[in-house]
Amino acid sequence: MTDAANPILTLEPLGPGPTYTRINIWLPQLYIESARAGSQVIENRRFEGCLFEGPAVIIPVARCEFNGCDLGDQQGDPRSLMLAPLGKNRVVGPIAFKNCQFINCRFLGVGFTGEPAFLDDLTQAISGGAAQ
Amino acid sequence: MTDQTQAQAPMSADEKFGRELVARTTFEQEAVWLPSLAVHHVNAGQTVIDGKTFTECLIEGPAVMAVMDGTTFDTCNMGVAENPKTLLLDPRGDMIAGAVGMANCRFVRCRFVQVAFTGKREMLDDIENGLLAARGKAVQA
Repeated sequence: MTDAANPILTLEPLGPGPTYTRINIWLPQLYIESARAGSQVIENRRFEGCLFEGPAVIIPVARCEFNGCDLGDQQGDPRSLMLAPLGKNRVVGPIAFKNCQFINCRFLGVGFTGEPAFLDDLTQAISGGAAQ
Repeated sequence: MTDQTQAQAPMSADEKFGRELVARTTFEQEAVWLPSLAVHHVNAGQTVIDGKTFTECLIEGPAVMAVMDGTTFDTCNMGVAENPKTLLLDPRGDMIAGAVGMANCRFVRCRFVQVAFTGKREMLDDIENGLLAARGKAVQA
């Protein structure tokens, strides 16, 4: 089996952080770097003033903060950015974050999933302005 | 009037690869990294991947695929999951952010790794029922 869409995307490595300031982050790349370092979950990082690009759906699994972030084009309805997992305990496909801080970041082409309470909070925060 | 003699900037290897990839309509026995395929399409101005056939391919994430009209799955392994619902996400709004939209695509004997699926509720139900039926057959075999 050969690789079709894999080979040529020449990107500078993002590195292990743990702090990233004012850089563009392609989320699949961040995930791949983390997975290659042995962790399927992106953990203990701080992102400040970064632009996150998808396509990707992220799932904050524990202790993630969003302060002053622009979560993306909600197309008139903040729920457009949210996807509800149908499975209760596990979800496949989204990129998981744990214990991460997002300060004044911007998200482009990114969806969010997680517990219903998290999605409700996020919807409310977007409706009221920047995500808190 | 434009200057016809002006030399065009040479196309980078990335751009050349991306254009060729987007122009393809068939993929056979290949590993396809879905985020990369999606980005190349977006760079080409196509927000939806449309009209491609994937045969015996390994489709890799992490990604969420928005299954749109005309997309079919024929004898595919949709991913490792005890509960098929773990592969499915229900959009809360009418629009879907973050997913890779695929319309009129055909997947034949493909295997999906770290890919979730989203779309209209009836489509999600169809996928879930298909996975449950496939599991039932596997248990009986």
